[in-house]
Amino acid sequence: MQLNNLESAWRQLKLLNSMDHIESRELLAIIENPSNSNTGKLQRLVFNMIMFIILTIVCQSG
Amino acid sequence: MELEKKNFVRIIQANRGTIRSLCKIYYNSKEDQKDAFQDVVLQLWKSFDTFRGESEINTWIYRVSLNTILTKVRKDKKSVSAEPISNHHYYTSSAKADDQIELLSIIIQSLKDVDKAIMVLHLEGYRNREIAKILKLSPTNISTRLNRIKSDLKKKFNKKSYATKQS
Repeated sequence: MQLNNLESAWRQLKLLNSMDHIESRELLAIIENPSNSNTGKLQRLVFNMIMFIILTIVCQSG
Repeated sequence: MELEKKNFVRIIQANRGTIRSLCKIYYNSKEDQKDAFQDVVLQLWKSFDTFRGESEINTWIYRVSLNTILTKVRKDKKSVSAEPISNHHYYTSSAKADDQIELLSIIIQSLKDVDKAIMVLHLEGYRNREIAKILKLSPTNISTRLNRIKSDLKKKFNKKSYATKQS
């Protein structure tokens, strides 16, 4: 197989992934408030922990 | 908006397809892809001062993005692991995605983390010594890995299956 045949596929994939525009304010939010991105991760972690605890309680009581 | 930030935003917007594609080949879930995208943008911003046009923008984007993602992947061990060809996923949501993109997705999915980066840089047209510089590996290492990737793919994709994909 020729890997070179896939060069155009990589270009197309990049093009597909550039379809959605990204707002300037979104990028500025990332670089000006880097802690915000960690907040999202923390929120997901807390949510997953709560779900785990609830499921554990439900399973034990059943 | 400061001129420096304005320039940076313009560069990221122009290269968003590349950065998103790199995040997608390493992470499956949208949340992980978003996290990776944010990490890459932040690292690009941190290194923007040192950029100063010494290398091409494209090379700078690939160097920072791939090294950031590879570090992140090693740290959280949540990357898209190498899978057998038969268990492939597609990176495009469109059901009618081009056959070549499907094939590329299947191939990349089957590679290990560093090999994915080598493959992408190879497809981008970088030579082995340039890939070595970007990924901070030796040119010999890149050459060996690339030969192994080609050899493995040759075994996995016989001419018949490739022809089927083409039709």
